[in-house]
Amino acid sequence: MHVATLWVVLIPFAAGLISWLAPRDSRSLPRAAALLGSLVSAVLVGAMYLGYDRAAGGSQFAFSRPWFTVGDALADMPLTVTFGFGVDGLSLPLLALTAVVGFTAVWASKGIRNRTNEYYGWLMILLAGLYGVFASTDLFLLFFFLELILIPMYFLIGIWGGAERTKAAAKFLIYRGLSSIGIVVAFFGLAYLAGKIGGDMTLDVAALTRQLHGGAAAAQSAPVAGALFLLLLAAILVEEALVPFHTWLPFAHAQAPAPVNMILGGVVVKTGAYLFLRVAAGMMPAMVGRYAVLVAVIGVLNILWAGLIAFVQSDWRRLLAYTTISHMGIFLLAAASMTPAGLQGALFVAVSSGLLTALLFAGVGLIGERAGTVDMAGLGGLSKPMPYVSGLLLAGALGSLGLPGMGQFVGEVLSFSGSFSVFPRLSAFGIAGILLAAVYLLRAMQRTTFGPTPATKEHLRDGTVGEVLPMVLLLIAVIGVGVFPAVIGHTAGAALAALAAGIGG
Amino acid sequence: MAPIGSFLALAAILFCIGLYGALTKRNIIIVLLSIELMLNAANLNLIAFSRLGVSANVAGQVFGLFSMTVAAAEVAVGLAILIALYRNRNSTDVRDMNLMKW
Amino acid sequence: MIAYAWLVPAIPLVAYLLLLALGRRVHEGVAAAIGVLATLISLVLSLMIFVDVAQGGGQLPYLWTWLTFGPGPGHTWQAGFEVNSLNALMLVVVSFVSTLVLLFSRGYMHGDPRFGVFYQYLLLFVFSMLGLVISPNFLQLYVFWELVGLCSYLLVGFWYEKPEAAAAAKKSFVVTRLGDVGLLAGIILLYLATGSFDYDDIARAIQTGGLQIHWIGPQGLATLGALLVFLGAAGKSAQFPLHVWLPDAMEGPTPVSALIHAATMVAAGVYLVARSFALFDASPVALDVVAYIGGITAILGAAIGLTQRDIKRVIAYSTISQLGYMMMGLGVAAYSAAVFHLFTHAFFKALLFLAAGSVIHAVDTQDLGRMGGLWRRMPVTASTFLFGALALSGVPPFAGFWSKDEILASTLAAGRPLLFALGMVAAFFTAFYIFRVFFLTFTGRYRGDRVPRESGWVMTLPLVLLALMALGAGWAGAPFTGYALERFLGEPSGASEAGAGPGVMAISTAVSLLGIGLAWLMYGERATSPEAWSRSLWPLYRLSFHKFYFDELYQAVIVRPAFALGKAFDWVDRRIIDGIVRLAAEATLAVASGVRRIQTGQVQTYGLITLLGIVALIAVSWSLLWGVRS
Repeated sequence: MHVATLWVVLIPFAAGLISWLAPRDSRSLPRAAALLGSLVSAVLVGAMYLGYDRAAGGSQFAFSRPWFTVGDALADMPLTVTFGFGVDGLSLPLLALTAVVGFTAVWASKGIRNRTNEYYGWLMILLAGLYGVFASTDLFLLFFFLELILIPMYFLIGIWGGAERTKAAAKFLIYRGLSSIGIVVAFFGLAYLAGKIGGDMTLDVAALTRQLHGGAAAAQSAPVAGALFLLLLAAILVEEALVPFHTWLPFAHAQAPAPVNMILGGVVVKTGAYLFLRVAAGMMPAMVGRYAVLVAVIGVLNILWAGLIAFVQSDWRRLLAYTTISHMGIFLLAAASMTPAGLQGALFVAVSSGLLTALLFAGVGLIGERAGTVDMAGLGGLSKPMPYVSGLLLAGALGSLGLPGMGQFVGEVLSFSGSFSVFPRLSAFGIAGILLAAVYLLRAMQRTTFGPTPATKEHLRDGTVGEVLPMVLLLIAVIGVGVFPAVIGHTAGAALAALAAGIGG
Repeated sequence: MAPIGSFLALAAILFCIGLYGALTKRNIIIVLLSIELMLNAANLNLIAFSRLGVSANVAGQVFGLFSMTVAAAEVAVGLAILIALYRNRNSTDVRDMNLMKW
Repeated sequence: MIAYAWLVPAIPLVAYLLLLALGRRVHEGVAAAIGVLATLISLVLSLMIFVDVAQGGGQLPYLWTWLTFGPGPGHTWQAGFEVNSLNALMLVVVSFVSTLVLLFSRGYMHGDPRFGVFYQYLLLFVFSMLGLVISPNFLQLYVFWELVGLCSYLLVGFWYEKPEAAAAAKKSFVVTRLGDVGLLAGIILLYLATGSFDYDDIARAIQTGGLQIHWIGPQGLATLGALLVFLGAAGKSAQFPLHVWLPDAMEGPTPVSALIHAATMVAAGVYLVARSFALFDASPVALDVVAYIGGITAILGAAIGLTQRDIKRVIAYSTISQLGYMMMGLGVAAYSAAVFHLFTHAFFKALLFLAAGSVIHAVDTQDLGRMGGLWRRMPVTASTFLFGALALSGVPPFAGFWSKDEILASTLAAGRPLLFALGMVAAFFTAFYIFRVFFLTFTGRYRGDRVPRESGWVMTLPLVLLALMALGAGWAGAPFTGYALERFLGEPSGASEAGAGPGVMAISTAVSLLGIGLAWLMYGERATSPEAWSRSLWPLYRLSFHKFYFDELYQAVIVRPAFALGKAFDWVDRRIIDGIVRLAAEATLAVASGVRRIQTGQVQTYGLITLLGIVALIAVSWSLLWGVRS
């Protein structure tokens, strides 16, 4: 239990390796290994969530060893990189999101029938990478895992995807690779800045946060800090697939297999949100303050832009991609306010949007498997043959448009409470996005599940218990967050309050 | 004792001849021979420096021996590749050996 | 008893979960029994609470912390419940009508393959509506506000295989959502200004001048907040110009129309304005907006109702019109009169819908042109409908008379003769259209093809009970009982009390009778041909029949432009943004394919280039060194 974070990363890795080693045509062994690995790691995350000492705060269940030192020769500012894992109030909700989405995505992968050993192997390595991103306490390690994600994602889209899978995989890889350049430059720049301000050059998250917060404001407002922030912001926009760096996401979603879409839209996109809260807001609050209007404008632009485009999509997967983009717009608008409400709202939006996106992709995947298409033009009246799947899909859509009782609602109210206090006019535009979400999601539902059932769709089989289980689990999770928001609010409260305090000081 | 300059001049001449051969000749056997020539020019320099250099010592001769050994091994491998190539393509012309282009 | 008020919504919730667990194949009788029993218990509890409140029971809100998201005050959300005279009355109305509608549905929905699901949705609605009523703060109200909207969506779209029903469900959700966005913004604004969602805290802040944000003054903030809240109320209560969803919502089963779209949910907007009346009271501008929007809605709904051919649509427009009356009453600060009208309207409108449902059940059509002469075949339905129609028209001593007159008198008392005139004309229209429906349905010759029969007791019993209420509910607030209801409700600060004088009573009774008489002449006696009237007044007739072209207007002004904008953005997305991305990729490829020609595959070429490079390097460094030395 003491170094549980390390195990959370290692267990999926091990499961992935076992799956790799299984015979090529074996189906049960890789699946069993992946299910077990994701379940055990999820349970471990759950145990940490419950066991986290909220009163004490800070990084817990930590594991940290010095790894290597860069720049002995330069001697003036050697940089020690640690191999450090740990969780705090900010990373726990995202780890929990990864755990739930990861397990359900593995469960929902039953439809994958070719090269299963490789598939589950890549999937588990992807999961390990995501856990690693959220659990790292050293920016170098975080970056390492951020890069690690790209490899399994590339193969998962490129091998098991649709007709244009290789192009989609390449586009994903190039976009995220470019964002990595920005991230790595920003990280090392931050380390350098911290070294200049005082103390050692370090990549340790806690130390960096402390040094950059405690350091002289003059150093913070140096032009280099502004440039670093903008660079990091651009990289985050790519990670979160925000306008104008978003076109990779609809394309990737339209090509990737359903379980991969669950993880892609549910968690991979949210790494950008984590980076914003952890690095941009956490280490450069003054810069967030300086560029707040810019960030908020980008957020509002995304809410409206993606919302309007979602109107005219007829492919469910593209629609969901734009839904995610719109949600991330809310995230950005809320986070830019740097108020306790705004930051909490941003975190709630990130987590619930992840759960709901995964839920919707699971449903869409199931429909695609049965009906052979996820284009609304070819669907209709599915409520009759597939009442349970349709009902769960509707629940996901309603949650996504901010129905009370689910996490997204809490996130939106908190987000707009935060943003209205800082940018009232911009927020007025942003809140219109809630209406857009209702229009495009309900229109999609109407075209898919309502109306007369075409003769070809009369005899589609409803999802079996095993098939709808992932959706049910995700729905329970998102309702849990919506009805008992303290689950997240209490855990992340102290960490986020510290962020909000950063801008005041 | 001749001055070191004449040894170096000879080595330079040999190296240039070898370089010219290696870059211009079409027959791969000649190219290989030219490469050996360049290698021997380097050996000559090593020996010369070990006897007449600023800090003359035995290390130069040791290196010379090393280099001759390596050359012998290299010739063995190189000729083996040549024979394999010749068997495959029925040619010793280097212009035919351009599989590694774009 | 008040401390247990949470049980009132909790019991339908439990029943809902129970039915959910039983699944969709549950036996009809079991589902109906669970539903009716649960609402009946809620009704009994509500009555006990009502009695407690009437005797002056405690009214403190019962609160607990829902979410704390930051240090210090103002960073906590609270949840809980509270009971006061207004919501104690609402609890009774909602649970009473719910019980009867659930009983009625046993007969009306008999044989539907998704009978159990229907009861699930209804129970979920009852839970949400009761929860809405006892919410102590705006945030919790908003939660239930959206949940009732969800239930409305599900129930309007209950027969989802009909494309009209599916479209109507979406429309109802989206249009009310438009108002809800305003409401949410208003709630957040008030929260930011006062640090609390609580009605009473906000009311206190208004009185003590604690209502301000840095970018707007207290007066502006009160107006802005009130208007935003009213936007939400207008959406839910189908006020002009957001009224367009309610007639379409008639695609849902008729019991749904009676419960949700007549008696309870659509009245939630009126309830909201009444509950947050302190806010409106602080802003004369907002009150005026409420009054005039209400007046316009009242006459608009009544005018459209004159010509509709679908029995349910006529009643739906009537609902819009009556909700307009209530808003008008609130707008002239006649708080208790508006709530009184809400109270009586819930009974007689639910009655009219259920009676219409009984008719539709019997003749299997909603077209007035295919009914007629049902008085003899369905005597109970017909006579109860007549009670409802008389109540709606405002004929003494029926319920609607007392409450409507009080609103009309208040407009005069507030010095708004224009509103009074609007209300009077609307009252004339009201009497005309409802008796047009009555005569077309129950008198004359039967024009349908299916043999109608009177409905069974599960359907007629609710009708009879509601008919009694339609007759007597108004007496609670009549002069001869000393305005008991108004006194029970109490008056929030600033609201004026105005009993209807004998003059107003006489005029309004005369107007109603005039309307009834005209309807009788046209449709009962056939003394004058309605067709001739519609021909001679054809521009007005066309306007009314086409609902003043609101749907077409919205289609042209909002829906189509929004889609065009979406299409345009999508084009920009695919062509311009992604085009730039692809251009970058293509440019890279083009450059690479040019540069790759250097790669000949000839080692000798590489060697030569390397040699030249070395020579060049040596030359450069030589010349540099030369420069240093000299």
